Amino acid sequence: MILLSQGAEAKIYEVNKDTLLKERVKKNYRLTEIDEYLRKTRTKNEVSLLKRAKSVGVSVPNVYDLEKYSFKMDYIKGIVLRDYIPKIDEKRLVQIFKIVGKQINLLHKENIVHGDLTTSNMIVDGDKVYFIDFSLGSVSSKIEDKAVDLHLIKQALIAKHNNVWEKCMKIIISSYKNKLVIERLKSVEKRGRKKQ
Amino acid sequence: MIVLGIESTAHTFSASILDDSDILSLESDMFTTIKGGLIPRDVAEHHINVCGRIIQAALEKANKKITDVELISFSQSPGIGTCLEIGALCAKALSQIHNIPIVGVNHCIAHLEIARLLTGFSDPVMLYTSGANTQVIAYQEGRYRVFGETLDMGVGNFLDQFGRLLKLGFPAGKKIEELAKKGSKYIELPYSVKGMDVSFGGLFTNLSRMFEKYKVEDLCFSVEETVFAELVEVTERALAHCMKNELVVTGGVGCNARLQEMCNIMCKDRLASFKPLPAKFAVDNAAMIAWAGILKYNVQKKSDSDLTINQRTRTEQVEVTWR
Repeated sequence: MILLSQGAEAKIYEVNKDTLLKERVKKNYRLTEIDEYLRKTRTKNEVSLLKRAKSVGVSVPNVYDLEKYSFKMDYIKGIVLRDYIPKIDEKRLVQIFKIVGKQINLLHKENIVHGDLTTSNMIVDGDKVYFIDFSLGSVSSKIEDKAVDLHLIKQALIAKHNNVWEKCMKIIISSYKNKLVIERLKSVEKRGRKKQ
Repeated sequence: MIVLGIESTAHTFSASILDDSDILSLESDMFTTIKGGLIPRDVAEHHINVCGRIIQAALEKANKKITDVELISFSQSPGIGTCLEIGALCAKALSQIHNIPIVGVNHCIAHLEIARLLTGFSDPVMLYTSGANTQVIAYQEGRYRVFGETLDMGVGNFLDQFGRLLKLGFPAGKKIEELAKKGSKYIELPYSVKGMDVSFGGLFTNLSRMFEKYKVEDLCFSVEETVFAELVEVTERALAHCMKNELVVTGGVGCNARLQEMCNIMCKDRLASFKPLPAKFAVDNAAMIAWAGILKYNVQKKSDSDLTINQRTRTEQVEVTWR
């Protein structure tokens, strides 16, 4: 197996040209009890959310072979949205964020909260935008949790794509159907620390 | 250039003399209390009582007279209003009496800039953990941007509130650290990381309901292990996300040896470099205010026209003209 990437909490290996293995690695800085609990529950949780997302029609990799701290999934060969945004024109940007918005809407409609919506966790492959890394996700019908999810993507866009974030966020909001969540987003932001 | 820095955002009144990047003196006096935490009026009164003595001591230690000072820099934002006012008042009065140029700086940015100066790191990710602030910050496109932060209270305030449950007095961090060293049994606690953000409110509620059932040492141990693991986790996420490989930890909680150890292990494991700051430059101090003032003044070459204090300025609102 070839190590493809090391994120903050997991290593991704290439098993073969179509398959990846995601393994949550031991974090030596934290207590063993906390470490094992987080790795185990997050792995299990991620697999079940990916399956659920797939079943409602969101572009996510297929998953299989669940182990204690790892699972296998399809190898999506595309470009990470974070790196893609600076390379594309406005037309393509609009097109991509319409898809992103639709998919967030779909996830939330089915009570799937991603928990870590950033442009690093989206892969563009042709006309599809795959959502990956559901490790901090949850199943929740709470308006609050969904609003926090929108707050996360907004923050990530502001931090990483400061020149286009407003346009991107506008498109996401316009694709988003649940008005109550959008209302709540405003109060989540106000509640955020020392926001003006 | 001889610079007088004045810090007064919260519990600490501090003055420092720098000769460019040489720190000639640093004098501080911190408000403490047995109960009640930081009551703005009381803290301001403390600052009023110590300000003259502290500024005088900083000048004497540096072997300088006020007339040698070529620039005054004070903490203009963010912080407790009544406290900020005292520092601003001292700075403005001295500036007017002795006709010395004056600039106001952002307290959070000052923490980051002294960290860069003392560690020698050029472009680090910074975990800034103090009473009111808990932020993971990195420089990008002309600003210090916040990649992760607390969604409710600062980690220091959380530790102080937890300390108040245990009747440890203010500030409680150091006492919790000592007690934690004697604890060994891990008590399962809620772990709250949302994306790159953390929150402590739920944990505090949980603790306030059950703390009486456990040994204080084990509680302190488990609390430290839980909240520091959260902080280090979001910090590692920021390192990965921004693709940077240097880390500094600053702010009062950044003095905790266990937090530093965890940061060190995390960095080693991902081949990044970590440097802690000497405690006196990690906590609120005026040397950082003086240094941030120098950086700002060297670019604009004149006094600030707006010297109004601001309690709520956010880190990313500050235009970083000197990088």
